[in-house]
Amino acid sequence: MRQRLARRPTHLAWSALSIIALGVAWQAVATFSDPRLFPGPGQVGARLVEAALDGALFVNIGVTLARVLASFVLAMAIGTVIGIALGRILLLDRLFDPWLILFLNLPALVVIVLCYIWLGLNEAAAITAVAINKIPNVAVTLREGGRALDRDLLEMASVYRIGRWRTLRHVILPQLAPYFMGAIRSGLALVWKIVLVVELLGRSSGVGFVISAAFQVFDVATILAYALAFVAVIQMIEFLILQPWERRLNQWRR
Amino acid sequence: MATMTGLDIEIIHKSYPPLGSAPMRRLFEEFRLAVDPGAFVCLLGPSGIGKTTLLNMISGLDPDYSGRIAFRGVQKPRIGYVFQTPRLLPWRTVLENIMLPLPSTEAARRTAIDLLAGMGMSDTLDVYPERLSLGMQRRVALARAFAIDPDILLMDEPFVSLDEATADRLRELLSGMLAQRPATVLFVTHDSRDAIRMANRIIVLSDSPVQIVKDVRVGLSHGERRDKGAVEAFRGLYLAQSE
Repeated sequence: MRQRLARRPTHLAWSALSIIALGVAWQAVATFSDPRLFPGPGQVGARLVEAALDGALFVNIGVTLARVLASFVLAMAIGTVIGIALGRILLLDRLFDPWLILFLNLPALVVIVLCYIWLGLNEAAAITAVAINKIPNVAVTLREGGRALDRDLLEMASVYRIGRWRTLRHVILPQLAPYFMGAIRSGLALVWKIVLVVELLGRSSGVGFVISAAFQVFDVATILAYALAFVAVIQMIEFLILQPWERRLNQWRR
Repeated sequence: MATMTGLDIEIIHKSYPPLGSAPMRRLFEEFRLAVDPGAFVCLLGPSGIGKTTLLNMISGLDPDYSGRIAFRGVQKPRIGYVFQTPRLLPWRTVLENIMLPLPSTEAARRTAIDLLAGMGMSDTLDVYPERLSLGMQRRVALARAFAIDPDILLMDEPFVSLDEATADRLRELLSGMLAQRPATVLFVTHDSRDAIRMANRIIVLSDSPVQIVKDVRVGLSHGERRDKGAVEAFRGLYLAQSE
């Protein structure tokens, strides 16, 4: 723990250096390119400030984040229940494993299009589509967690008759925490990308909608400005929420 | 106050699923044992003959046998089980581990704290178990068993892989705890010295299927139990050829 803290400043310095190098390379390429098709960091930055000042940036990112959050929570909840059930009950696993493989390999685009066709071009369809894309991943990860539950501790819980709720809260969930973290990490990365596609195809707000509008007029600066802003937001979630949470979950480890 | 229940164990048949192509193992066949309320019974026998399985059947963890295990006096006795490994929740502190089987009331919390204090662990209440030595973890496991005020205490080699001094301290602690909070004890061990020191009845078991070879009453005084010579003499007299 202490070691990790000590390494942090150097880690940050390297990250900063790396990002600066990327910016320099970007500027270098932009200098020799058509500024309309490949704008430099300055131009993209200006567009970012412009969008921020008129509020459109925050509104669209807010709308997209809300969709990410809704579908993410839905997918985590359903995927966790399915995953644990499959991990604990062999019969269910045998029955539904092929289904899981089918849904894992179903292209995101197919799910989105079908949801819009069957449920209509509305918010519920958008969120359902994203959740369905994510549920199989969560289920597969949590199934591993369910299989790896410590039998000794479950026996202890049963002998001491601590009841279902306490068993879940004190014995099972802490063991699943690393698997949750894994599912959340990969989930966050996957879900926001799919939300953009959903917005592009059937919503009239959000980052995905802005990008599709910019695409129609080849406004590359706006596309890059929104993409960078969203990446920054997702990184903030990682730094400000996920990492502190993970440290708290792991404080019992030696 | 625990009611201290006696036990009547009658296992008609218990077998173990074969490993690979090995034949079905018959662990118990017509096995009978009656235990008086408040007795401290040691089940003595070599490793792997089914002693732990017997405790698991008594505790209800292993319902897969034919026969019956009846508790005298109570329908569902409170069972404190001290497993061979401590089986503490590593992500909960010592106090939280003790509180696990208790109601979440201030009174229960007090009881748990007092119990830990009585076992000399006041300064480890908020420590995570993996930061403790094995001896201390065993002590926490013992505290958890006593916390529920058990009618029956099942103990599965609770002193193995400890150095002699630590094991001795734990034995003293167990005797002291039992004096304050009497319970019927079934104590599994392969160490006859352990058995003589602790038990007032020793059941010597042999395997395939498990049979009672000897049933010895131990009438040693507290002082004699702590005297190595007396323990060795008792061992030579009653248990020698069975090992």
